Amino acid sequence: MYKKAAIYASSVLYFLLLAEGMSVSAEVSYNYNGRGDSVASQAGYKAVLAISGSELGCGEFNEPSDIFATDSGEFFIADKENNRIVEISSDFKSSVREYGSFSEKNGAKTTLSKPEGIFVSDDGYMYIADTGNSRIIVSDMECNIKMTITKPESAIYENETFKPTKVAADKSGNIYGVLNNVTGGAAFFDSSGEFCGYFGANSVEVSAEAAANYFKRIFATDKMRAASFRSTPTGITGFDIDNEGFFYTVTEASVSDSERVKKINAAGVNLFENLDLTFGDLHSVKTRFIDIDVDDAGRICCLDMETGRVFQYDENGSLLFIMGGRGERLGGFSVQPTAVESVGNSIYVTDGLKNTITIFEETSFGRAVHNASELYNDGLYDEALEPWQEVLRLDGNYQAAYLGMSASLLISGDYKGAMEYAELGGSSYHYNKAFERYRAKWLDENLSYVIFAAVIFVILCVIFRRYRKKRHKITEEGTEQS
Amino acid sequence: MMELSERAWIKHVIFHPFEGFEDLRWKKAGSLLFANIVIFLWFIGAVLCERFYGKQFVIADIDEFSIFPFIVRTIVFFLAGVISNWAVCTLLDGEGSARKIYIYSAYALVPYVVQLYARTLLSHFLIRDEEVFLIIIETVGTLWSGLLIFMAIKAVHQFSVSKTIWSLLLTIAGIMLIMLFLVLMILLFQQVYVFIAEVYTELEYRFRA
Repeated sequence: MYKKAAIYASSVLYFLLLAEGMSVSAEVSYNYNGRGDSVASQAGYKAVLAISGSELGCGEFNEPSDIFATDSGEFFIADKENNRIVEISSDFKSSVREYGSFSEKNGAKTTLSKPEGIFVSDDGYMYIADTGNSRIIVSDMECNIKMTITKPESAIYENETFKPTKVAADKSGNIYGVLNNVTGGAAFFDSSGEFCGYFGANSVEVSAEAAANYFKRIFATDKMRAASFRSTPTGITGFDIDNEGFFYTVTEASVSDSERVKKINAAGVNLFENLDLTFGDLHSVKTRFIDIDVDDAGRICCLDMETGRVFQYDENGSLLFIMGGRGERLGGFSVQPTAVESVGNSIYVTDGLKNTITIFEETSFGRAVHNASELYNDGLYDEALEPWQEVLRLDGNYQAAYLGMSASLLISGDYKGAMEYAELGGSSYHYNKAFERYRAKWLDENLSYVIFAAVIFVILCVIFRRYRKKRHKITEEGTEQS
Repeated sequence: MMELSERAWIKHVIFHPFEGFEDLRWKKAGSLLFANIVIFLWFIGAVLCERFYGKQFVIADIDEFSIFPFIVRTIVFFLAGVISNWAVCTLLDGEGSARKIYIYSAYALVPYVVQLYARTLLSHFLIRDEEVFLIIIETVGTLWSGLLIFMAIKAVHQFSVSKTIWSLLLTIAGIMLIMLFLVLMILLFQQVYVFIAEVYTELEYRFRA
């Protein structure tokens, strides 16, 4: 046990040293195997460029806090300390426009103050979390404000402040905002800007304090109960909405793994809850996810502020790749990476201290894994066989490939092979599935022999017993005579 | 009457939990050799159960294996139990000698040991949906051995039921104490060893230079 722990610790330390100390050297890629050990892995993404504001032609950024890509490919960056939103061309070569001042409905001009979140809807409206001004602005592309959401007067809204940090809208125009210091989940507004309540709240974590409160409550009078000790959950820090309308949240300060990343359906149920998934680094490093992005293929990218790493998961929440890290090199981040966005084969990460945007491109290995895992997740196990073989050829440490191979072979009827690959992948669950079929097939083929052997066995037992009884009798008779 | 071979005695005590050990004591039977065999089989069974269990239930970590935890969990644990029980029951006016406690409790462990092998073997033919059979086997074997150990201790010391319970609780406390002292001793000896090794290395350097 200790030995195991020491190995984990040393391996994590090893990666930390490589990522932080030897910042000039190439990135070190790792992944987790079936037992949760970190193992060296091929890189699925490679940092190709870190681009600053002046290179894009819009002046240096100052604490860029959010990045958003529209379906048509343009990028929008919330440049917090410069009080502006910058639009960047789809090839990420130059800036197209800046949005800083807006005209209200009555014609008055208003400017942004420390905007931290940006979202652009398909029908061409910008949703800006104008944090410094305590409001959410909905505006068209010509900077005419359509709607302003300020602190709700509703009785459900109990907080003193209204500091939106992230904003998004779904297809029917409902607006969601992550509010600083609000623990009830994302604030939820209908399309007319009316506050409707919260969505995606975390549950109260089981901590010593929560447990103590529970006992206090038992002995408290009603009056005391009303006055005090309500345990509060931790607030969510980032969210995204995918094409199918599922709502994804990340929680930075989450203690329980199941709430670190959540996939929530319209009924508010966390679909990841019962899948036994873990997100982020598995050992010793405390992962603090601050942003999440879901791309068109359903892949989930989570940005970890603690280590500056981006974790990419497939639609079912199993780990695909880990990239990034702390450091000065290309692909390394400061202590304050702020947002992640993935478009097509690229991942964009903004850094609030370096004031750059780092672009990761998919490698050929990354393409092979994505190809295979997409087929696998679509249930096309037969078709996924060759892509998984290709993945294993490139990286024999990639655990998901063994399980994919196992599933493919299972479908094609090679149960023995499926068992072997499940064993290599270290998954007794997959092994069990393959073994069940293998055993059924074996019994089918050999049933006559099995019955024959059983009958012979029973007959032999009966004969043996009779023989022993007889001998027993004879010896008893013998003793009586003497 | 009751002129049984040693193997028949083991069978007798297992299948007659309430009278078996009294008979064994009355007839002054029980052999150290067979007790040793049972304990050794326990040790082997524990290793097999961990390493060669059906892969559909658990895939053993092939990177790491150490035999010491198994030795501690079976042989050392058993010896600690015998010593602790002997120490406790001597104070409680028990009649059993350490040798008898050793033999009787080893015999009592037979159902548990058999259960280990049966489970390991069966786990290769069952799937996860049928795991309940393995759980039943394990539960039956463990409870059976538990009852036998109780009766064995009761018979070997000629205790009443309540006194046996009391002595068993004290025995568990004793086992913990012994384990604690063992850990302490190992740590201390390690430090002594390190000290001697360092002195030796130092001397080696001196003389070489």
